[in-house]
Amino acid sequence: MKNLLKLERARNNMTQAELATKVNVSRQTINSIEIGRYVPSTMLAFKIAFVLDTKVDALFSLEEGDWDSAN
Amino acid sequence: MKEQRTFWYSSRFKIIGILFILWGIYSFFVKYREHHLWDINLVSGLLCWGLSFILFSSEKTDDERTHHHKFKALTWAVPAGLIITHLINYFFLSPAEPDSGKYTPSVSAYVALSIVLTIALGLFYYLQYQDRIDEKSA
Repeated sequence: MKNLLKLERARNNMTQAELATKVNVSRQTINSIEIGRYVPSTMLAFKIAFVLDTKVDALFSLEEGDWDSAN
Repeated sequence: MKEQRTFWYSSRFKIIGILFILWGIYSFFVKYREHHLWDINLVSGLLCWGLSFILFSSEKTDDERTHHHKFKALTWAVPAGLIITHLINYFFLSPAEPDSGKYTPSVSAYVALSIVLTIALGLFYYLQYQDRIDEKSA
């Protein structure tokens, strides 16, 4: 899954730690999402989108390979 | 929409878990010193309690990524522990032949569970460590 989290975070002038505090997760979790190692839950994706004042589908988008794998 | 709490115990229960493990190790040595018995069931029973408290208590920063790591650690630890248990049974307990009319010997549930929980805990902290490494390199 592709994401524009780093870009949107920079647009909002926010550090990973600040975003992590606002959505109540660890900084490592935000970093893992940004580098594509972890796909967040629906709840967390909505929280991040809300904090960054954007929509979930503007932040996250499916890639070709996502249709073939289960996770 | 309210998020459900995944882990029942607070992070303070980790201390209780460590105390259980230390109690197990101490009891093991006391029994060995006084009776010259290697009571693996005694130490593994307390080890199970200790490891359960440590693994299933919440972390200081407890979020869905941590839960994901614990689940991933358990999905590897359960089959790995099962394989190790089978190997111990096979190589060290001389299994009875299926038609021998004897019970098939096996290590105790405490020992088997201790193996699973030890692998799960080790793997969990390894995954957490990997996250920190990734964070530094990013």
